[in-house]
Amino acid sequence: MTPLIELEEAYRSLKKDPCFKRELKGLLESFTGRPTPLYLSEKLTSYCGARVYLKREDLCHTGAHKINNALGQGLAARYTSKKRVVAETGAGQHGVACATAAALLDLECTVYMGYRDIERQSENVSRMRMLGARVEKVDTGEGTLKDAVNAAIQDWVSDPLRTYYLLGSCVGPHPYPLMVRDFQSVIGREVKKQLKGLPTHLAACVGGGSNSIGLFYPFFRESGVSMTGIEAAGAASLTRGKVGVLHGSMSYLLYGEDGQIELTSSAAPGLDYSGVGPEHSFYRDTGRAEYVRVDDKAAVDAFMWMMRNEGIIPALESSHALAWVMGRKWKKDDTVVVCLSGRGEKDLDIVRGFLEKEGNQ
Amino acid sequence: MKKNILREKTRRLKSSGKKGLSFFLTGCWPSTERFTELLKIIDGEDLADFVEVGVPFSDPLADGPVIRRASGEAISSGVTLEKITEAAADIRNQIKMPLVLMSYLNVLLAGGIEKNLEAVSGAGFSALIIPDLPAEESGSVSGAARRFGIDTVLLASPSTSQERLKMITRRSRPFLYYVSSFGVTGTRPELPEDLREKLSLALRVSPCPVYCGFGISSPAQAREVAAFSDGVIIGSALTKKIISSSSGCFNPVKKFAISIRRQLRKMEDNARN
Ligand SMILES: Cc1ncc(COP(=O)(O)O)c(C=O)c1O
Repeated sequence: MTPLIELEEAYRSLKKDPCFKRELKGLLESFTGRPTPLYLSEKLTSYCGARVYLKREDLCHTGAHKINNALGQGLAARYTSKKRVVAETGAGQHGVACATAAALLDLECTVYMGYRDIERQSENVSRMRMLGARVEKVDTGEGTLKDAVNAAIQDWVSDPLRTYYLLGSCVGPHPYPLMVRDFQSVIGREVKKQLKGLPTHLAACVGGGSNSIGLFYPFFRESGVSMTGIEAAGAASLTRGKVGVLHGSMSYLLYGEDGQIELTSSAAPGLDYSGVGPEHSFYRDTGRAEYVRVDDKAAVDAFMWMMRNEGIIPALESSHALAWVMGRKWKKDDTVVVCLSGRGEKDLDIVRGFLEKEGNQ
Repeated sequence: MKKNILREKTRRLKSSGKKGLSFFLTGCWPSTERFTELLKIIDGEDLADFVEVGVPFSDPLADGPVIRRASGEAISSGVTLEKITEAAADIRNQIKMPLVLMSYLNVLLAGGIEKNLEAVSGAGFSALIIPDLPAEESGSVSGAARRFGIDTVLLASPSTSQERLKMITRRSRPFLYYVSSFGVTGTRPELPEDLREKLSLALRVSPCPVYCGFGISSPAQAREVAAFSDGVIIGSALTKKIISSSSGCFNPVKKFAISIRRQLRKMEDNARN
């Protein structure tokens, strides 16, 4: 608890620190390339029969929204005099973002990654290593994100004085869900500025829930804006889970009758997590957002459609959100903003494998 | 309310100047039979004052590799909270020592906390330890447990501020679980340097006895820690002995337990003379 209490205090003062804010803003602009474009997709617009905008987080440096949070927390680590960051990663996008932030900010970096994810996202493993990070393989459990979180937390609590835990999504113990949401809210704030007037719908994929909460949160009070979070069918904590406790927060969670956390299975490694950020549970319970599921096949179809028709390779995670938007009935004057949370070069092997398997059946 | 034998036990030990000794066992591991056999041996030969029974969990954040392994094996062989409470209820009348249940929160919540607490109480457990429940959030669980006659033991560590330490010791019953070092359970070659000082502070502010665990692996370490606390809790080191007694009798466990007991007794004698 002590490291968390210290982090909360530190974050509270950093939030008001003009130096910290200026430095982060500068990095987001010149290093990450923010603001990212809000792109009106004509092809999707004619396909869906509503105006469909893509928030291009795939164009962030390192290729996903994860860098927004990694820079914010990496700076926080520097401001609190930590020498080292540890992180977990699923898709490897957060790991790459951390390794990048650590290289830039002169921090040591260790990234924990499940053995299964190491196999299926090997390119990101090489990127992290070449950026100077240590990548530790996690053999416990199923070898995915949840197991990597366990290992990263254990590392952190063994050396909390020197080490900063750079959590990649809005999950885990307080104050992480709050910090990650704040650092990702730049997504929604930019959309507000870029779009003249309000959208009618927001859509984003939900793994831990960081790109979605980043898009949703600035619109929380705009009651005319409806929000949809899209989960992977094989990891649907909000639509299939029960309230439980994992990694220090109470939220919707997938677990069995005996309380053991259930295994998840999604083709998108970044969505393969049994829990979800507690703020999404609040949005769900209050009805502020709706949550739906999309399966692997629909996501892969959307992935291919985007490549063929838009010349964009969306991350398989983001493809879940696109699939839902493409599958829904829209009205002509609807305006939909979809968070294209990352780019999909990392997923080419997974998609190729999926299509080959399908072709053989 | 039925009388809480763990409260009596820890109180009696403290007032008679004795150092308490507790072992952590993973519930129904290596098998239900071996587990209950071991409980009977520990009780019958007075190898420890009370035993903590761990409920295996898929994501045991506080546990090091040895206990994680035992916990993983137990889950694979189908061990659940229900199995453990049934096993404990079956032998409750054959053992005299108190039992404490150590469980991660989600296992206790699953299927309804009241129902689970009723089973835990019915199986004769005197207290609960929930490693992922911070004292600040413990009120509703410990309140519910109290209604079933079960105490809630809270945890503190060398990084706990003095202010929180006071708050935690006020809420923890019947003893305070002092985590000896940063990190997870597991045997360590050396205990942290400032442990002595930190433990003495905990002893001073705590209205209840202070038991220290995590990382104690040898009789010498047990003695070192016991000098500044009311008792020691040993988990990973004992688990290793159970692994090495894989078949036949529990001789390595007995030998280890007796060597720890002997060190503690020596200390008590020295203190008296
Ligand atoms: C591109 C991309 N999108 C989405 C996610 C899911 O995470 P979150 O729900 O926190 O945005 C990930 C996670 O790795 C990702 O890499």
